[in-house]
Amino acid sequence: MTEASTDKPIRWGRIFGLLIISLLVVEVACQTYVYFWAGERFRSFHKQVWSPYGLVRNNPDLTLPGFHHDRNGFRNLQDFTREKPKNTLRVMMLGGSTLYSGIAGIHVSGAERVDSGATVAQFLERELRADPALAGLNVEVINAAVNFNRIVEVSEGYLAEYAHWRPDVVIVFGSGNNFNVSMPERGEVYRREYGVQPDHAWKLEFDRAANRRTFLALSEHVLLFAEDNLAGVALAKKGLTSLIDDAFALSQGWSFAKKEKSAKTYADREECDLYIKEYLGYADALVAAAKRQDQDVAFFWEYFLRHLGGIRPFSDKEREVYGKIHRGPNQEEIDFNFYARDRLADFCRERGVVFLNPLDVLKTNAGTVFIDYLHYTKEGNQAMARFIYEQMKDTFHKRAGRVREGEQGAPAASE
Amino acid sequence: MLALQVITSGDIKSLVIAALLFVCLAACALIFRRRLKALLTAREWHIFFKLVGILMLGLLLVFTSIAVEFPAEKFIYGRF
Repeated sequence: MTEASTDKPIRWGRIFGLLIISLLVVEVACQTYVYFWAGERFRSFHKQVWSPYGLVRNNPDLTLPGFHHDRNGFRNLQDFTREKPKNTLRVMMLGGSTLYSGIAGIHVSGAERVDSGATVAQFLERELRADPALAGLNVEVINAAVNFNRIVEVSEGYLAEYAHWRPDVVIVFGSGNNFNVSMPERGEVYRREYGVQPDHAWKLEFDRAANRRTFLALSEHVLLFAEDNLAGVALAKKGLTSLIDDAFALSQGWSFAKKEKSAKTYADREECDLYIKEYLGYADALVAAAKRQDQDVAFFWEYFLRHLGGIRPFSDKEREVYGKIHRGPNQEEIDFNFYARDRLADFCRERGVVFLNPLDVLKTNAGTVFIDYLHYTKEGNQAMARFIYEQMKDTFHKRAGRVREGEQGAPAASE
Repeated sequence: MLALQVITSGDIKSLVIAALLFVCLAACALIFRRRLKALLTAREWHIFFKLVGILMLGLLLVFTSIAVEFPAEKFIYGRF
């Protein structure tokens, strides 16, 4: 630093002017990068928005390659209106990431995000449109899936909102979020720590972001505003958060205070039954409301790749993923998952609703159906849509007949 | 490392391009360093970078506070 420069008065205007210009340059560069990466101009990186009914909805403004949400937050390219158009057969699909068609960190090699025109919903719509028995009808298949939705959020969302979209048929996915890849450990259900029992992780975030009155909460709100308006801030958050999380993960990995992993003791049948009963309570509420509204319901079972060793003929790509996530054979976990499936099948039989068990498709389809430990590839979604169509053809035909008779049109118009 | 984010091959390609863009910007700044130097005095440049540093540290502070209280492994689909 020279003598002259310390004597001169500081030109604050220049400094802040240059700061603003620098931020503008960075912003333009970030906007260009996002356009190149996502194929559209930047709107928001927030995947969800809060909802009082079922915790969250997909953010209509999400900017991410492949993941497009319509103006209602559905994972569709087309926009729908709540009031059902006349002469329309409407199918509403509810669930979590399998229906949403998400992708996990460990996925089949070379995989990209499945786009919003290639989830099970879009393929099912194509199947229905191609059915000669449905000719002349307008068909809508709405994908209302939200990542990490459990039966708690699904049934709440349905009771408070989706039922009033007056679908003819409701198909419920999301079993994978209620019956995790692992089974409850002893006492976990009694302590209310398994699956649907504890608060959803985002509920804790909701409390932080919406209910806290601290300086940190205020700072976060300022950042949330900036993130949704400036690509530079949104990218900085994405990068910095990842770096911080990685740093934490790294430090935990090297920690001396690491807990020794002990052998698991699993919950007994009585405890497992208690949990399944709780799950079925939510399912029961959904079915009861649907029946009141004269809507047909079906439940779809989601299998985990890890549970299908020796059952499904894996493709080479799936075998690679299976090798990475396989933690050794654990028959107890597989048995629990299949036991829960059978209990749900019994429930569906008792309530007179369709149970969709895609095991035969998984046993016979030798293609790459799984994109990761649970979710499907585009081809997998197509195979599942074909399966659903085949299984529910009679239901769709019956409902189409009623739409034609105008039984559905009149109440929708008067709503 | 970005281990906790879903990274597809398409994302890696775009990250490589972003890194190249950054290198280009840095190279431009190096080439035109005399002109840049003339914009502000040394003292003013110090203040400029201090302000940038405060901004970055502020962001880090907020994100780290959230990360401490809400560990990433709980949020398999990312934080809100």
